[in-house]
Amino acid sequence: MADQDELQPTASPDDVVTANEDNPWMTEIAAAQLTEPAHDKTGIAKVHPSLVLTGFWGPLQEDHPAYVALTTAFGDKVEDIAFFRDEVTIRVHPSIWVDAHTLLRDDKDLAYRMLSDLTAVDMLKLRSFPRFDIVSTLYSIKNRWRLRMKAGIEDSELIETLTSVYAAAGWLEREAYDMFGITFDGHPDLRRMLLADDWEEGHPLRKDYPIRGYSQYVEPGFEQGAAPRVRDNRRL
Amino acid sequence: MATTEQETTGFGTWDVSEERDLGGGQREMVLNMGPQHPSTHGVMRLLLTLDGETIIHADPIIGYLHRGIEKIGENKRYSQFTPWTDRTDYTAAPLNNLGYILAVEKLCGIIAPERAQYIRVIMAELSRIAAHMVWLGTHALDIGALSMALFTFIEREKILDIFEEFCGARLTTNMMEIGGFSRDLKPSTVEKIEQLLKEFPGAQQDWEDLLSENPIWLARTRGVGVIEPEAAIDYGLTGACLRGSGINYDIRKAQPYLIYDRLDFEVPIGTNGDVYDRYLVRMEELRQTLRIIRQCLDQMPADGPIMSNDSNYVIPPHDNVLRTAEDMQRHFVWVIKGFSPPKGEVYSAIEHSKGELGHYIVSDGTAMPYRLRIRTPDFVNLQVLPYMAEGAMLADSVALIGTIDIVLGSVDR
Amino acid sequence: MGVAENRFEENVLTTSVDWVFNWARRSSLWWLQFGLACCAIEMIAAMQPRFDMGERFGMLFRASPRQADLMIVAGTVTKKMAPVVRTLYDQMSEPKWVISMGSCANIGGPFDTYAVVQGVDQVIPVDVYVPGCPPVPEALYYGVLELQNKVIKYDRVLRKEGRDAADAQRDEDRIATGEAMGRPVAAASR
Repeated sequence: MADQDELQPTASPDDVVTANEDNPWMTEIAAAQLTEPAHDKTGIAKVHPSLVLTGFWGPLQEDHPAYVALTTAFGDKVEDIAFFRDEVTIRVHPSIWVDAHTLLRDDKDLAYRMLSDLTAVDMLKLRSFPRFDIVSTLYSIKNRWRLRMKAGIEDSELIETLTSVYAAAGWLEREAYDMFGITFDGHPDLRRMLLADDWEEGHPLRKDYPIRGYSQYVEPGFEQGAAPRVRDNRRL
Repeated sequence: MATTEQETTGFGTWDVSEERDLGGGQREMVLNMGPQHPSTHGVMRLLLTLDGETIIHADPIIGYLHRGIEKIGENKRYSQFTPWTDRTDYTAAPLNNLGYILAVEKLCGIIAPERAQYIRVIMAELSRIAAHMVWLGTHALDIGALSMALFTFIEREKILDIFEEFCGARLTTNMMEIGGFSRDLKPSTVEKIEQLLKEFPGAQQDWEDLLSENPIWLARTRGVGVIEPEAAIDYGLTGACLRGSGINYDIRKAQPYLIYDRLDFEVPIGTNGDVYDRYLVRMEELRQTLRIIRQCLDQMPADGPIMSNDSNYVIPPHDNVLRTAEDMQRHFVWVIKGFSPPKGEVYSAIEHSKGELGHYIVSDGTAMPYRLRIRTPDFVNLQVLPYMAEGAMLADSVALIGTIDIVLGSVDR
Repeated sequence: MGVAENRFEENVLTTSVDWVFNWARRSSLWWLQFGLACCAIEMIAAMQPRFDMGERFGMLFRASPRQADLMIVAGTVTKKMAPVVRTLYDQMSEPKWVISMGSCANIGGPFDTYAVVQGVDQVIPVDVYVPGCPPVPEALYYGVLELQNKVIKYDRVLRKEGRDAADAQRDEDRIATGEAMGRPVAAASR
């Protein structure tokens, strides 16, 4: 399926720092590591440089190779690229969700072959439309880069499943369905996972779901009155 | 309780064992294993479809320990949430603390002082040993080496004593704070760690003498539960499950955090990807962990601050609170209102004893996380179980569960 | 419910015989191996060589509820797990006792959420509550000792009534148990 080179990192694990120096965006890491944080008298802290100049997510520029590859292939459907700390987030239109991941996985240079995480965020309180962000975190063993992909969908919308691209998506998507009620189109086994299979009270990680749920547990047979909290053996 | 009653309670069904006649002399049996079963490492349930002794299909059913920790995280201030991270993977609480604290510190843009980073590494690696002790004891117990749990828990108690002396708790330590530590490592604790470093290799040698060439152990583990390298990557495995298959991915090397890039250690890699290789990988990890602790004790600066002095995000030191008005006010605000990191989102991953532990935090600029996602290693690792179990023997199922090294609190959250 | 019950004519009290049986029950409580969450790790630690609870108290863990006298609910009981806990309790044969170990099993602990039952006593009756998050093995010892004081009184003829009387009885029993075990116990001051 894949040649062995792709599965192994290009640098040997013992020379991490020297390997970083090959890359132009990583040159300052050695100097920046573990210096005292910049701190002025007003108490407004600055971001410590060692948190930004890691190079763990690739170059923090518009010409990030993944962004270039995606825009070349999909054009306007790639909506945005954002940087925060050392992290890179690419927002795509949900219609190319699967194709974008397939491209990132199969590209020889990028080789984002591992799906680290897939989850969702309910954006109910932050914006009016669309309601959910589907967030996937990819990892490239070859480049030692991470990448975050995002797509926004509405409540009733379907999004295509990633199970055909990454096997790891199976349970992660099931969990997102369970917790957020997002339906992944084409998922082979989409059912409740963490909650009971006949749970009828909605999806708990949505922002409009109360933290204590809608009902407390009542022991069967004691719906009318409280169950005995302590048993006294001497009264038997 | 009868089956009909279960269906009306609305809290799930579990009694589904049955035998099916496929016709033509073919029969298959659906066997329910768990949620109360000694070797499911907690409250996991396995639905096994069997043809005689051979597993046709295994369906892990989880969620019996789902407590809604992510939902709690959205309702707690950043500094309040650390006790819940202890309880996600309760065998290695300091590692969970570390993962969460690093994510919050990345969000805030601060790092801990150097001495605190060394103490963090020492405590994290000690808890890695403690977690591997639980794994080795229960895994060997499942396969039939009953005495292993007795031996490993003796060593584990020594580590728990170190934790207890350092922070006051044995299991759910809650020892790490945003910005560093509030209490320093005492000389007596360092002595205990030195003592452990002396005694542990001998004890580990005893276990390996008992297991590594034991014919029963070899028969139960060699060639069982093989994961191909491509499948391991496809399933998103991390930790020993991935490295046992020959893939070199250890976050401490690949994307070093804290001071791991200054330390000299090796990442053990398996070749066959079976249960035995993962056992060897984890045993070698123990040795490397001891090397890391040794180097940390040697390199650690003897003196220096252990708490970041960033006035925005870190609780002021207790002495200053009692002496100066500014710090008293800051302390009051920090406790009552918490602090507000900038808007943004971070994903911070560390190498947990079981694999990649990631915390994904979305901040909307308020004192509580807008979304707190905990990417636990064993949740992702566990979904390879149906792949491994297909075609395996029924008796191997306990070996397969044990080799993934699951903790149900971490799987279900 | 005593073993010797209904074997004799009416008006024959079998107190001493019951005491012997209860003594035997108290001294060999077999518990159901049933860990739920964090507390289960401390329960295992209590069983292992350093604390050695099993050998000290004649306790033995059994994997089957049919062979167990004691259920230690060690950990968080979720709504998904509650019917299973109830079924396991129903499958245990009388006489049976329950120790609720840890804050989660007592009152839900720190998990006041949609998924967690706020206390296992809403599902099954509980005899002894052990506080802590998680309780150290010594605390579990104390819970087991308290339970032994309760077991020895199982099905005895009540001579006193009321809550204060029950507390006085409990102190009395504790002193008697201590003396039987060869160590003097000071009466609690209240």
